[in-house]
Amino acid sequence: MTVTHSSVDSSTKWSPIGVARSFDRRLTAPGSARTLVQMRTAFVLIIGMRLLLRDWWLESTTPKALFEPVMAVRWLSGPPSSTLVTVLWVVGLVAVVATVAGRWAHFTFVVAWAALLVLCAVWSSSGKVMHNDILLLWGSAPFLFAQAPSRAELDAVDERWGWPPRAALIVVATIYFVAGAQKIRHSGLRWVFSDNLSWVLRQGTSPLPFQIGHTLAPLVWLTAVVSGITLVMELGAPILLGVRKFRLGFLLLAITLHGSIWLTMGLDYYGWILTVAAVTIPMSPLGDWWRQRRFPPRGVDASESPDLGHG
Amino acid sequence: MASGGADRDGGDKRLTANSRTSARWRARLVTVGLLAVIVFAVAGTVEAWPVTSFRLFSQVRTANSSSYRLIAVDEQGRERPVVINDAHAFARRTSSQLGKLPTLSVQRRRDKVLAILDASDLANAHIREVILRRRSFVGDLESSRLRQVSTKDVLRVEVNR
Repeated sequence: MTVTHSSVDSSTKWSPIGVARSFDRRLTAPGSARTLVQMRTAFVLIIGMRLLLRDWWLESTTPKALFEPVMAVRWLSGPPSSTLVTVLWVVGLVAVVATVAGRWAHFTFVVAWAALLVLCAVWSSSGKVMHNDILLLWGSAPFLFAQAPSRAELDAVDERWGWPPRAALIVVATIYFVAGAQKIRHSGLRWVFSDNLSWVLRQGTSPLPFQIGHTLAPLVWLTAVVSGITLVMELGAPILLGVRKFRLGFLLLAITLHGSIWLTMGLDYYGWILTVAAVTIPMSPLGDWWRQRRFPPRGVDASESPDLGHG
Repeated sequence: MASGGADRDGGDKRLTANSRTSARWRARLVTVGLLAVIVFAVAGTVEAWPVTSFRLFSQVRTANSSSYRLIAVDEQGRERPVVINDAHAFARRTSSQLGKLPTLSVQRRRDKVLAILDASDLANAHIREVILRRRSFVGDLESSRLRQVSTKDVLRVEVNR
């Protein structure tokens, strides 16, 4: 992230206005068009994966009396017909392909996002709030408002391309933070210093033949440690994602957290892992290195180029 | 990671000062706008999907738990649990609505109960009424067993079919 220096002295640097100015400078600084395209492509591919890997037509089998439409689909008087589900699914997938191919990329990204939103909203209209795709939808939302660089602008670095990837990172960090804050708000430190996670594990069902969650549940000291690490990860997300060199570390934590939730409780949160990957990899030293190797500045040997660090 | 994906309309777009300012303001409005919605939902515990307060596992769980179950009573007074069959497995996701039945109007309650009956193996049975029963349990971490400690009939819905 490029930072421009100003003449703010140390006494105002950490004041609320100083912090806000620093945040604004970092958010609106010029950025690489390639980073934007990479992150947008990653998001739309995840959208495509979610569209492909779920049997959305099951939604049509919900009895009308049990269909409780969430806000996003309040306009539906009953569960969608299988025809409507098919139309949304096909339109969404075509839009995914078009976005990846660069055809009217901004418009097609919006279409793909909207198709997934509607299908997920119906899936969530069973009376229980579903969070499986919420990080993906919110994390990719900044790209709904972002301009799309043309092919001629791919090597450009300016203010139009810098903010969407940063905004996505900020949204993802905020969501993890508030998830942790809500635990403190509603349960206090009892969320960590109790047998809370033991009971969460006990009440879950692993997709594997061996119920590893039930085996670990009696180890209250272990579950308390894991609870503490989880809370630190969530509350620390703004820092872990805000500092470039920690981003891949956060991705590893996310893989561990959501992977273990699936292993012990059978809950599908791989969309969260992929979303974290989409916002961290392009905005990490690994992303910089890859862009440097793959797209060296014209007339420069890739092996000798300095780390541009854009994005 | 895919590297292409830019629009193919070409053109050399030089960025003017106005364009830079416009881009900065767009960044601020979008970012602050999205954060404001999230913070509003969290502060107000709003659940209006996709706007949500992100309460993921936020409530402490203990050895005590409870669940709701529908019990069908036939004309002879025999009780049978209402279990959604495999043909309607997707409808099992609606079990979270059972606890809210008492808050609904009589007609809506009846509609939901009938819908659940139709999705169960009791679809063609002669049922006089359906009871919403709340069961309380105490768990044991070592044995992984749940022991039912009490039941309470919360609601009765006349079906008469």
